[in-house]
Amino acid sequence: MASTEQVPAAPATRAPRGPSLARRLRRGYDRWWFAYVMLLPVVVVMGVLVFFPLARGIAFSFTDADRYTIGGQDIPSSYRYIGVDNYTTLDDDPNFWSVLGFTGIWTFVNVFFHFAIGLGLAVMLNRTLRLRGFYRMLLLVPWAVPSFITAFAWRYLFNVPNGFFDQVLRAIGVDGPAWLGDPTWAKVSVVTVNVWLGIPFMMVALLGGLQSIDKELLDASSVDGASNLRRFWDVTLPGLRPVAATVILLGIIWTFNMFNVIFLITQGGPADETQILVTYAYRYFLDYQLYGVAAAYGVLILSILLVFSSIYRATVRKLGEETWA
Amino acid sequence: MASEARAPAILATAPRRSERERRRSSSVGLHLSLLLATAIAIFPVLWVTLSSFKPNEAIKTETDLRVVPDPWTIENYRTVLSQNDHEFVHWMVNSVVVALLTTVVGVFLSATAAYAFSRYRFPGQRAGLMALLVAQMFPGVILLVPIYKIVVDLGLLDSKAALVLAYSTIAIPFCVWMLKGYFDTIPISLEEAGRIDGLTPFGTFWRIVMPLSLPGLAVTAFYMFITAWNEVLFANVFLTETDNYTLPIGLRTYVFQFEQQFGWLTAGAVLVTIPAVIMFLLAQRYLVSGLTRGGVKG
Amino acid sequence: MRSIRSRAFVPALAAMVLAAVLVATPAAARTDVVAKRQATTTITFWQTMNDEETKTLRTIVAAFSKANPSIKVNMQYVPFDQAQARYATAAQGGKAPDVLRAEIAWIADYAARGFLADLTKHISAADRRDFLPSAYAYGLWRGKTYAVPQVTDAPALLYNKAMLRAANVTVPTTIQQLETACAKFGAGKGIFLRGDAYFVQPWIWAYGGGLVNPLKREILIASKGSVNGMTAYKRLFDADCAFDNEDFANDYGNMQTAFKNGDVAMIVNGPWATADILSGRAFRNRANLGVAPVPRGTAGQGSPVGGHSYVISRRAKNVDAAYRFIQFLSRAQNQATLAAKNNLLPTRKSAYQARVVKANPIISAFLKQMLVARARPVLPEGGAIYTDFGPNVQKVLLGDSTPAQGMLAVAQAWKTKLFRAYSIKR
Repeated sequence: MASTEQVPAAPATRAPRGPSLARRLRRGYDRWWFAYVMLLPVVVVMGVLVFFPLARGIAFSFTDADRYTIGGQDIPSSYRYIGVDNYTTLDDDPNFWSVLGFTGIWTFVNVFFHFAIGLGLAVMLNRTLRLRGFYRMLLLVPWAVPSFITAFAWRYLFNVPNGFFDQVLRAIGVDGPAWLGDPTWAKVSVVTVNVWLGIPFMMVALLGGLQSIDKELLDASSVDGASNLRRFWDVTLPGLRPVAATVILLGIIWTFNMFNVIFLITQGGPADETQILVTYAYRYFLDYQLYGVAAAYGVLILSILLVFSSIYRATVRKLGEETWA
Repeated sequence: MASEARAPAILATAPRRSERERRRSSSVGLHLSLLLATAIAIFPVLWVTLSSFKPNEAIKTETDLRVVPDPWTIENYRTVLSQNDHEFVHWMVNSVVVALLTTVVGVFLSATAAYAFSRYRFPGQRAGLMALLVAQMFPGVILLVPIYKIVVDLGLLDSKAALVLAYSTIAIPFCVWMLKGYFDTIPISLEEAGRIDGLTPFGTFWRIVMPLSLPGLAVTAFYMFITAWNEVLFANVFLTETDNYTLPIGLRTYVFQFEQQFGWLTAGAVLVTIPAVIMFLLAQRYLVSGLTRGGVKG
Repeated sequence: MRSIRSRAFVPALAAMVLAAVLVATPAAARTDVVAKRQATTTITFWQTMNDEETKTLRTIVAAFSKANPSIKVNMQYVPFDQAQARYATAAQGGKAPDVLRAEIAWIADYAARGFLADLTKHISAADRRDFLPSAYAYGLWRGKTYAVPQVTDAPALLYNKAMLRAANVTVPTTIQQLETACAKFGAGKGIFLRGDAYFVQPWIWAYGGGLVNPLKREILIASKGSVNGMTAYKRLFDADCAFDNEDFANDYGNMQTAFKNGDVAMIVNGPWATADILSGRAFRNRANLGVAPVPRGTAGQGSPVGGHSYVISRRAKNVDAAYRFIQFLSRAQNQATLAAKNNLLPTRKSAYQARVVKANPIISAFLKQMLVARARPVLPEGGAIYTDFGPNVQKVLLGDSTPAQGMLAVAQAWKTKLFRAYSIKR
């Protein structure tokens, strides 16, 4: 990563106790006024729309806010603080643990296939071949077409008995599975759709990563007599590590919170078997209108992802990566 | 990348013929795999497009294996575009306005912030970048209630401004991160030269760095546009008048549980996809380089 | 070179931009004020009718606009399954439409939360006598009236007369007969049963079960009768003669398609579906559609009374104009029109006197169903009971819980989330 320090480089915060806080602040302003100004719009927007609501959301999770107490434009709110009750009673809901479990499986299975297939396609597209641009453009279609449309399309393709897949199977005499009706197959189906949706992004990122691997290293390794596989393992994969590490983490975060696919295709069904934490939290928000509990789910999601990403980054760093950010 | 014609020295010992055969068969295998992958990638979209030309009833009740419509009809398009006082056109306009505003606002905000993170090592820089990463972890759900209250209190319910702000917020963290990495790869010597020439700090940003960052900016614009174009969750809660719907919410009225108007849905879907694809075609040249030229490396 | 000019410039620019943004946003609200100053009142009307019904509604609304040139009606379609949540969200945010066609289960909820205008003084005594008591009762909350009934309905047993004749089957009147009749059809051709709690209710009532009893503050869904009802439903669902319903997400559409194509002989559905059914190829001859009350069981009979009424938002700008509008919509003559064109059951006794209504065989048949239909309890939580009821019914049908376990899970969910002070009757 290119060094980006502005001259002079010494940060003002290292100054000795001598100057007062006001002096130090002023000096900080003098040095980095431009940076702060450039940041101001984003800080304001994110502060108002993300961090402030987040704080409020966390606060809500400690209340009994529901349809009667949340209030509105001229109806005063009347919710009360109830401590950690929303958290301790999370598993009063009989579905809680299975929802949590499926969320984990959902995330890891999806990202695994996103990466594996994305890498495979990227490697293939990295070779010179005719029609490369044509393939690349078409392979990006799942990303370009709005996901709520493709979700509806897949939902109808999976329909039993009127959907395309079931009719094809019946035409060749096979009694197809209940793609969306059987609990296990429904899980397979939603994972399939999400994998289909997520591959283009991975493919593009990894393709770029492949193209930016130092050519000299690759040539050097083949001159040394390495086979294609060896070369891939020893030069390509490590060269990909920075890109791969980032996109995998992003993929995990995005998949964990992927609302559209499940909401639009199975609504969490059948019998709540395809619920993940986000969709289940949404039900608490919209159907039960138990806003305190919905907020608690949100905090739970955030905590899980925070813990996970800390562990992840530490692990990646240990594998010899340079500093992140 | 060099073609196989310049195969490395190690293959010089192998007989020529099998080398050519190997090349051809691997090439054939390559094309087959890519063709298969492409077919899978486009099949649902193709199915939707073809279905939109079938009469409305037929999609629901046809239980034979007809993918290609027979007879073809553009009735669905006609109905969708004209019914209910051209509501679809209203939705399209709403979506376009919201998406474009989001793109402009979002690119501006992301670029300025990313530039600051890239060029200045100020106190709070690492914390700021961490915060952006964390911001991507928030599920929309936890933000829904508080943002809803803010929107209501400001009297912004059912307004485009609320959506533009919400969408910018959703997309900014990733874009800042990516653009920062992109700016990192632009040598600072260029800006220093600009300063010597008398440009203000903002001037070097605007006149020197931005033009050089077209790929990164293109990716940001594309990402912003697509996020706004596709978003369902917030639009569903914030928009209350049918006239103000964006396309995703409008299309949802066609998939009412008790009556699925597939003809309208597929026709509407095709119409909705066209702008997204246009945006995509404009940006696709830059997607590979923009995403990774230092960008995704972090 | 940092000049003082440039140092101040950028922050100033940023401040100006911020100010401009803040000013621009409320600008959109100003158009509201302008509209008010004009002479005409505009009424926003959210309607949830399906496609065929909307066509008829449009003509009625047009007639109103003609007779009332100073009142403009802005009618918008909101899908039924999204309307409940949307209205609540809009009302909480102060942007509720003036008039809503609400499902009866939503009314108590909205009234309890203060969203609705009190219509007690608006409704005349004559009207009050004319409305069907059960339909009218759904609009009451704490002694005040909040709704004007539009339509009432209950699912009945719909059947394909030709198919029954061909299989030599008489129309079943008891659950027992239904099971025997079904068996006379080929695999998957007898009956289409949905994986949906609303449509399971007739079985629950047939065996003496129930939902809740607000007077005794009891949850009845896990009682012996309810469990027996669920068991019987599952038995028929699993039977060979029942259509293999594997896709719960899409099963309403699949049920309609199968019935319309003549692939299945019997279904359970309500009057709202008849217009769609009659467009199917098995019912080109309208007389082929048969309607019978849902079968009796060993301990009762019942079908859930549903329906829709018109409500006015408390913050509507012109409640009188809005009331004029819904008064017009629910006039006997207009109810009769909807009845004739869309087979919707009127809620006014006077409407049933109209010749077109009397002569409509489908309505007469559904009327027989209404006589043995069961009203749901009028409670704010009434609309939310299906959130947990549905998935647990599906669990039972999938074989993942026994009927007893499934119904108990429903009861427990209702107790924790909705009816905290009630007891569960086993």
